[in-house]
Amino acid sequence: MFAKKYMYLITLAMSSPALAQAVHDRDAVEKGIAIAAEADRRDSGYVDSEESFTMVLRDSKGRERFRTLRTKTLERTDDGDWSLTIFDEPADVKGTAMLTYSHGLEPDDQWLYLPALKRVKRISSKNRSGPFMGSEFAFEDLSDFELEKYSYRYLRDEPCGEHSCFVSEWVPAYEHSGYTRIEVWHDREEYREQKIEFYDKVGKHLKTLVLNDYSLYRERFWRPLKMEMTNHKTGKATLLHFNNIELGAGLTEREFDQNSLRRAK
Amino acid sequence: MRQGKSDYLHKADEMFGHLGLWMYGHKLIVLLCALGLLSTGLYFAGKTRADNGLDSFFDATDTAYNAYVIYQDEFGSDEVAYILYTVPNSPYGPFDLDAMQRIAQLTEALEYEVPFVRDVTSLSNVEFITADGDFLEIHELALDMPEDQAGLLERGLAMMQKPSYRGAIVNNEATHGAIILEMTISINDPLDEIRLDPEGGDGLPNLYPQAAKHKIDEILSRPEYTGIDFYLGGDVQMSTAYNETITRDTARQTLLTLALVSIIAMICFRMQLLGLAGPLSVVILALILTIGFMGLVGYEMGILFLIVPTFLTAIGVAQSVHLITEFNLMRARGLDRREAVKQAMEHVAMPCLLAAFTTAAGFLVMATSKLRPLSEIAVYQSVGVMLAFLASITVMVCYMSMGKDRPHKSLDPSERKSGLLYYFLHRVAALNLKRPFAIMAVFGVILTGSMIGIGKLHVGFNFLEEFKPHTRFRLDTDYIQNVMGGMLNVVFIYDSGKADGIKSSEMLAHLEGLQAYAERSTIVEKSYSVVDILKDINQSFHSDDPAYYRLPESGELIAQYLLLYEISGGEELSDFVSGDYRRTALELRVDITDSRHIKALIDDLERYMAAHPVSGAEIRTTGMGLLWVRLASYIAESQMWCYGLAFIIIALVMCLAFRSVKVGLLVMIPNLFPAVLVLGFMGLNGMQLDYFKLMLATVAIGIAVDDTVHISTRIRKEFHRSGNYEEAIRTSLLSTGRALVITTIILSLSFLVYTVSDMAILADFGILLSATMVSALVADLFLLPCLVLVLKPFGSEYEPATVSDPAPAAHTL
Repeated sequence: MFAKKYMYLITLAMSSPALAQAVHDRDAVEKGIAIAAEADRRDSGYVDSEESFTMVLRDSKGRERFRTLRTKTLERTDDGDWSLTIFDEPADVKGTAMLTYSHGLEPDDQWLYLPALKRVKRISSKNRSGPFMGSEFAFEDLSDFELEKYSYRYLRDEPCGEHSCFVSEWVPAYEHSGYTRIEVWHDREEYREQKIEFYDKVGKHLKTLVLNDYSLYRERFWRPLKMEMTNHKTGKATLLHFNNIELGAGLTEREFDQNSLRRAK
Repeated sequence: MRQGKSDYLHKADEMFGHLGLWMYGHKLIVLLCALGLLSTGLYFAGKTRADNGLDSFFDATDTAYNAYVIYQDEFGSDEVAYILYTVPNSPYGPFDLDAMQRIAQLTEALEYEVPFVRDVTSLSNVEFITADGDFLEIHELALDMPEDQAGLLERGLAMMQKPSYRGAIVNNEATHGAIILEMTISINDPLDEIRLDPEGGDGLPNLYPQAAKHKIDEILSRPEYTGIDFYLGGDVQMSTAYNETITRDTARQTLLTLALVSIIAMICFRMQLLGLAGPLSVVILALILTIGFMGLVGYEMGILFLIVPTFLTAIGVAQSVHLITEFNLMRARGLDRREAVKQAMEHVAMPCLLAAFTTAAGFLVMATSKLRPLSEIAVYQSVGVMLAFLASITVMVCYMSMGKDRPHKSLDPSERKSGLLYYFLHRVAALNLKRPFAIMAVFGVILTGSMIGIGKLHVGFNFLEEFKPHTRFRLDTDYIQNVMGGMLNVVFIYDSGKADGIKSSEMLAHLEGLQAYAERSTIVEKSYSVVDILKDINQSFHSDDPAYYRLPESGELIAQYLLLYEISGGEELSDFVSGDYRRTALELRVDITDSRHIKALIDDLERYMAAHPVSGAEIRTTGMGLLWVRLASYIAESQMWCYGLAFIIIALVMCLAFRSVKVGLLVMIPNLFPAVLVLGFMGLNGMQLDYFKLMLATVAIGIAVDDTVHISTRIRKEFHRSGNYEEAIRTSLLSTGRALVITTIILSLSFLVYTVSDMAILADFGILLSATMVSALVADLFLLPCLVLVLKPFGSEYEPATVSDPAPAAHTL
């Protein structure tokens, strides 16, 4: 009897740290989900947006190239968002446009219009890890956020610039991601993404995205005016400078059909 | 021309005799100075670093090299690791489903685990566009692997239709696949950028490309890839093979040479401590001082450094042998240690200095070469030879001065006149005196034949053939060349002079024309340019109709295709187009072959460009292929200039040394013989003059003259003593001839150590240099005495009563 009781106590003592760890892990996961859900909630409901921006492509030697683009986005509740991207510069590619229907965990649908060819082509690709518009952003970095696309874990709190941030780890749940995990810094005040670190398939720190100059639109939605993605493997970087952002512009589904590609100029 | 007080050679001999006496009396100071020099040398030796990169062949101001650096800077490092593979137990080759799944896994492992990798391309991850009407589907096998073998074969058939894949990632017969690892840096990048671990030091395993190569090897050896045969080629493998071979060979050859020299010294000097320890100390001191000098002036250890340890060992030992032989001879005559040192220095030091000077001059003439390894070795090897002389007269005198001054056991006269070497030299002397004209006639015939051979000699080299046929790098690269074609690149850069200029359809049409013309050449295996990418997209945008595998006609469509390619993730564009679309590159993949064939190709293409000018663009040639051609032209230039200069300088030294143009030019005849013979032999046997063999003639003249100096100085001295040419020749051959034979054995065997190298280019150099040494001995033992006997360069014979030299003649061994 004594022996049994003694053994019970030893087992309890030995398992306590493991139990404590399990409880801690469950809490971290719940807190991670809560942070991501709150950030998503705060960013939902903008309905649509129109943005124009300059993309600066900087190579490892510091040489830069510029592109000017416009993006229209239509928020959708039943599926992923729709977006239309139109190139304004360089002049010889003006009017080249790409329409994207995002689908959460499924591959996106994309259509492309080349003005010189005057034909719309549908494009299908399962590659989410490929570069977006030849930049250091991957398609998956800029695709529509859906809560089910990742699993979450809160890591710690730490200062981030002028703010104090939650740091969470996101692990992609969709197929063919180029990352094993992502670390995201949300500021505690507004749940805005301040910094994101991307880790490749062997866990090496591959890229860092820094978001700056947040502006408030319609008194609710925060948008960064500057984004800089640095690829630590290649030494290349991409900067996005937003110069015009309009939320709730009254866009309709008609502006996101295949004919809209031809009209986009 | 009789010996007198005014003869400065005699004065120099006396000066060295006095120096010997002084060093004998101050051996501790001399020894301390030597140790001081050793410490200084060791300190600076630590500052030298190995460099076998491309930059080690070219001067920083070289225009061809700079064009290549600019090309790499603009279009990124063109260095790749190339892995060819086959699946021997499958009838489907690289399109075997199980193998393809494992290659997909391997491609990922290589991309994420190998350091310095920018991108990895294989059949499993290459983007493959299929078109069905207005629906374009972009596939990657790794993301969309067919479920069964039939599905993969169907996909394989479609992929084999794409010209851009064939010869790049799959061979035309679809029996082999390839994985291409593009690297982020190149071997020319600064040291701090090529370290894997910034704190891990500068050992080869921590540096690019070795770190990348070793990781590739480790990944390929994993059990999951069993059953797939891999062959490694490309720049990463090649540079690693160079660096590791040279580092390993330098250590191995130095040890082997020292061991060999020790054995020879022990045999020749009957296990004497002096004969063993003395030369070894000289060699070590000379070697460390030379490397220290390199560290001091900032020279790097390039590929030609491979010859240095063995060479300095041979030179240092040869000089020591002359001193020991003379010292032992004097001791055998009953002189005490002090007097023997003085006499040895008097008789041998000046010829040693002259010999060192002429050997150094043989190297120094190459300092004018535009080939950086040659111009650098010219300086540090010349310094090394002079340092070996300095080390030999100081260290050897210290060794000779040590020990008790017991009377040396005098050799029995009968013993002195016996032995194989005595018998041989005696017969040589007899033959010379009996048949001088016949001997000269034989040499005349050999020289004539050699001159014919020299007429057939041509400059050229092939980096692949620098490695022995059994080495892994050469076996694999040969295999890859047979399966996939060329591994060398020649690049043409179109510079439009303005941003977006290369989007002009006229310019791209010109590029297409040049590309098509180049592909007719039998040594061009594959060509790449932005034209291929544009044709590929154009076909995809026209329902995969092969008729549309052509350049779009509109400049706007070209621009939009290029944008489409870029925004859909195509990463190859930056390999061919500058960021601002001002420049574009046409890259030809050419067989690794004789540089002459590459030169012929480049000349032909430049003629085509001259006949088909393109308005608004400047076209420049670059790439590794052009650098090969440039190396060959530098070798050819160096050849004419260096050989002429070496002859003039050494002839001048001889004329000054003997204070007679007649004698100086006469001794140059046996000096030239080995160089002419070896170059003629190479020409007759179709051997090419590469950057190693280029050194043969100048080095041969430089070293051959050593023995000529020793024997001619001795003949001259003996003639002044005896007044009789026959007597002088006989006496000289029997005394100095012995040292000549021993040093030639040492030099020849030492240079044969080069044959253990994995570098065929060095092994050939070693064999030819050894043969040169033997032919130099033959010329000194036969041709020189006969010329002296016939031409009587030291004046008329006279009665021996006029002899004033107090030293006894060396009649015996």
